[in-house]
Amino acid sequence: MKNSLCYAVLAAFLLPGLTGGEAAAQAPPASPQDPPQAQAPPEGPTQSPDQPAPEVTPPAVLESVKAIYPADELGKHMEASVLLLATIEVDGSVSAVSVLESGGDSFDRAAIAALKQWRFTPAKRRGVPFVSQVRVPFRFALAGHPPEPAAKPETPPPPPAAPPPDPHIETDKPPPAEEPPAEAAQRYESTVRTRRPPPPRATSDFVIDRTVLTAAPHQSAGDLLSSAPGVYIARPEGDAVAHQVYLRGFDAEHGQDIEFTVGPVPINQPAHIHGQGYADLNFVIPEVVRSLRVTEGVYDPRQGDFAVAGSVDFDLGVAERGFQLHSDFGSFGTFRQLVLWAPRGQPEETFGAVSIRRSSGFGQNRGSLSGGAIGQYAFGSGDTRGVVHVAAYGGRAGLAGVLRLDDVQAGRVGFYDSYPDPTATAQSALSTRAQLAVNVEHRAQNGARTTFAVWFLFTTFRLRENFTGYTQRSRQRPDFIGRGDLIEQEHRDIALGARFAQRTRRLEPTPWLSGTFETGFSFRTDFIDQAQNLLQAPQNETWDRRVDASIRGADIGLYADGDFRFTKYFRLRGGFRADVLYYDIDDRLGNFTPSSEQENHIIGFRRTALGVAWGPRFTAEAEPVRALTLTASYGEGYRSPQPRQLEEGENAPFAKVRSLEGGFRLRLYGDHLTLHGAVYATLLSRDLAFDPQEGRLEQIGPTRRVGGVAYLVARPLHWILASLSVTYVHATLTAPPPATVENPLPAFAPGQLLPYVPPVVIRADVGVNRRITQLGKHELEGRAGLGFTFLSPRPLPYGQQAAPVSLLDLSAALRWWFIELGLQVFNVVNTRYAAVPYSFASDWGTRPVPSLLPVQHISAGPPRSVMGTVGFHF
Amino acid sequence: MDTLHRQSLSPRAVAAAAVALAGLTLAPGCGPAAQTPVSYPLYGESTGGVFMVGDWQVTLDVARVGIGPIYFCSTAGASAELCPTSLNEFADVAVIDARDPTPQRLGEVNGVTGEIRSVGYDLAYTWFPRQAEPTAAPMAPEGHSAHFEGQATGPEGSFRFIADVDVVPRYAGLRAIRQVTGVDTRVTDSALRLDIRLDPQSWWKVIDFSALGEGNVGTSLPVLIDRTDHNIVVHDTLVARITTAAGAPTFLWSPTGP
Repeated sequence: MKNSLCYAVLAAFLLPGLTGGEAAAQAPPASPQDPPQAQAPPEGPTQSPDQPAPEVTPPAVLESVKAIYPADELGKHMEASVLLLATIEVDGSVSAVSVLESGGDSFDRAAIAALKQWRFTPAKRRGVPFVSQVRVPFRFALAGHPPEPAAKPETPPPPPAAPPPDPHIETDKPPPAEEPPAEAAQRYESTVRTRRPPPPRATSDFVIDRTVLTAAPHQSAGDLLSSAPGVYIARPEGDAVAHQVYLRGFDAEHGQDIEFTVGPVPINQPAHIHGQGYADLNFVIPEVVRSLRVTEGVYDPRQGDFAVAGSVDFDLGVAERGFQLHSDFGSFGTFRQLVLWAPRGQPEETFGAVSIRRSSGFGQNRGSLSGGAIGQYAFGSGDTRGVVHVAAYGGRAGLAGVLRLDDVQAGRVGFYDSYPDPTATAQSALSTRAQLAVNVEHRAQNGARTTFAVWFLFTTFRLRENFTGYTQRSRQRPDFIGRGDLIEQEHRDIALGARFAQRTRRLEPTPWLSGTFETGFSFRTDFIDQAQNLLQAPQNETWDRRVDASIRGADIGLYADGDFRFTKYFRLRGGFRADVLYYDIDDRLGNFTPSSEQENHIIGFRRTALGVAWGPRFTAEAEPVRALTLTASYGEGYRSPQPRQLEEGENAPFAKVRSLEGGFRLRLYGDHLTLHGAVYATLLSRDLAFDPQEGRLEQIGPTRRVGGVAYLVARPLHWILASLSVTYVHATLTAPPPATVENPLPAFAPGQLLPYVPPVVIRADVGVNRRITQLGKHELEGRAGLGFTFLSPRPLPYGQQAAPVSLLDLSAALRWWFIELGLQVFNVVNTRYAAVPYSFASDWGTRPVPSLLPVQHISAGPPRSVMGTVGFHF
Repeated sequence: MDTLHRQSLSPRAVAAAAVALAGLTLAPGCGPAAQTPVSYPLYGESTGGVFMVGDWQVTLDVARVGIGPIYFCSTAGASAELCPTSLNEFADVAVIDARDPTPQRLGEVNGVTGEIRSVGYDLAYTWFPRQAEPTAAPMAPEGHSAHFEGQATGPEGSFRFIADVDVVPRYAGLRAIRQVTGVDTRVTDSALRLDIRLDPQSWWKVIDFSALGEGNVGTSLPVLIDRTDHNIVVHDTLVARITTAAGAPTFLWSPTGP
């Protein structure tokens, strides 16, 4: 009966989604009356018609000042030309001027002095100002001379025939209507440098730009992900441990099912002791995130290891140039200081940022201190450009650990507290990270593109956490028992890698077929040392050793990808990817002899394994009318195995994922409203789940997710933005989990729901940002934002379910001249919720007779917290 | 304007979507659970307190046996290593009047559905990981696993005896008794009851009452049996009998009907 109701509700949900196509079908085909894509940069052949480069408006002159002929040159009767490059800030002022072509010192100074007094309307992307650069020529001529030939605006150069290079677009814009003074500045060219969104690979391939990311308040770069459809993100283990991410039916734990990248640098760590694919995003400073690309599913041949639920790429850049200081302070003794420097006159990719944060935490044993720096420098010009990226981070946090829900409900321990036990109060985490990457891109005159990147990564991780209280027995010394299950995990990883890609020029074998073809190569190698022990608090005496291993791994990926258009209505993207993975494992505690058996060998287990994972990824796209794009996508991806679980010579049993999606993208009112709708299915051959007794991931068998997603972004006015996403998933286990000695008859029911996965995730972001009034010479601007997350009841093991979660965050800020004051309130209604629920057996001594039944445990989500911000922009 | 009108969503569709969405958000998902919680009553009973052992008639005036905690496992063995998580359990200690053949309500068994294949339990004497040494539960009869007081009457006369039996786990973290026979069952729902049947006759039948009563027949002082100073061999014989298949308690699940 319950299931019947469920399915009825599901059908009711899906039907309106399908009939949403009715509105799409009623949309008229593109016509000349449609709002034009005003001043959008020209599209290159790889650019999706539905996802054009952001709607960019170049800067235009508001006020100009004539340059004064230098007095010291008057007697020489000279004429001179000066070409200047000016940086236009978001307020329209000229912040930096450099000389591109000199006419002599005097003329240069005169031109610069004049140009610095000019005022512009700033360049805008989707109505949001950003820093841009213009080239302005000055011509100095004495009175009586014939009119200057360049006195009239010149016809702008035609758009480049070949696609501009990613990640930038350089667009030469026509001169504005406002004509600069004839004598001093006859014309200027604006150079708008912006990142082109990559061509979408599915309906659920979202590029979430900063206007959406900043609409609602966020506390960390990882939290930015909450604005993506179908994502729920939590940080149950504090500032020094990776976020826990749920994406479209996947409990991705700390990243096992999502491939995270920051530019060319992969974030996931294979063979991590705390979980395969562990991805710590804490090093990313949120203020430098320009956009997120969230690809839900695996449809792009560039997606590599861990792209099971999908992939997330952080695009870094700072639009507002200058020097910024931000101090945040608020609840629970939290203080954060940000120093951000984005040198004027440099592209958005050039910046440096330092952040320090400390907090006493919202409950017992939750204090933290962290700091990080991240910087980039963009170099090169013209056909060859590059970015040097460097980042470093360190953080330490106390961990409150998880609590038995029955203890909380009985008042034996407070919701935000930690167990009053040395083994609980000793929980902590420490992580460090340093990385360096260089990415170079060359675009040939014919449009072919070559990219090459190298990166280096060093991370350390040490975690002490007790999930189960007092249940463990030492395997090394079986008489050691009852000393507390304080698991210590240690992981060190030195990794380096490279990426190379070559894209052809635009090929046009027939008039109705054109496109490009790309081949790519990626490589990474890891040198890992890891250990896991049991410690006895408070002196941290080791009372058992569980893991002591060194792992050398390598991943060589190759892909081929085509992007071809058949007539103007159809497009096919896709290709193949293959990865070769190699592991050399020195498991120093392998072949362990229990004390009950006689030793007949020296412990240790060294083995090697190699395997190949490959699969196709394709996306077919149709555009019957200009406002509507239909897509169908299929792809096969993989997750690498946990090397310590491999046997000698094993062919690296990859977790194979098959993703299938069909959907539409609808753009209305000149892109002021976009709607994505899709249905999808994801089949995974080997899923993983967290095992609290070992503090790591274990296999649970094959799984399937089927669902739908709707995502709406509306920009009804240039100062208001709203986005809403609704994601439904039906996530099930499709076969019994593998039998183990501890569980020889794993329970299974056909259609059994995957625990912990919220079937419905709703997310809304609303932001307003507009001028309020003029105070003195400067405008007073106001900004307000709202973020709302809803999780439907999450199924738990044993037919139980976790309560639904509703979270509301609000923010408001005022900015005048260089001063900014802001207020952010997280969890406004002070919802008491489990950020992450678990189910397992534990014994914390809270009952006279321990129970060995798995019961619900919780990791408390943060209560209401208020943060004030003082910012200075120079 | 006409274009805008044609692009609008119909109010009916919007309303239907809103209603469906609201309903959907309340649903935790559609699908069966592999295991569901169960809870069913636990009863204890005995074979009675008067029985013959050879030529001796034994009458138990007091026969209180502590039992629990009891952990039922899906694994082939019930050791702590094999069975860190129980399927069903009686996480408590109760006392059975071993003279009473009628069922006595002891408490509730809790857990989840599944197949039980082994059981590990204590007789009111535990050595949990957090305990420094074996400890009698507060409910333990007179501080022991079992407490017997009775009289043996034979050809040579009669004598009284008092036995304090301690079934002590041998190592920390282990159950005192682990058994795999007689506990195979599939728990599918809560419409069950579990009966634990004790057989004190089988425990005492291996005792040589002639030897035990030697020198004590006709005296008013009872013969003491315990694990420290008095008749230790008899005590250990009783423990061996209780903890082996021949004398161990039996577990019987039976449906209770709708």
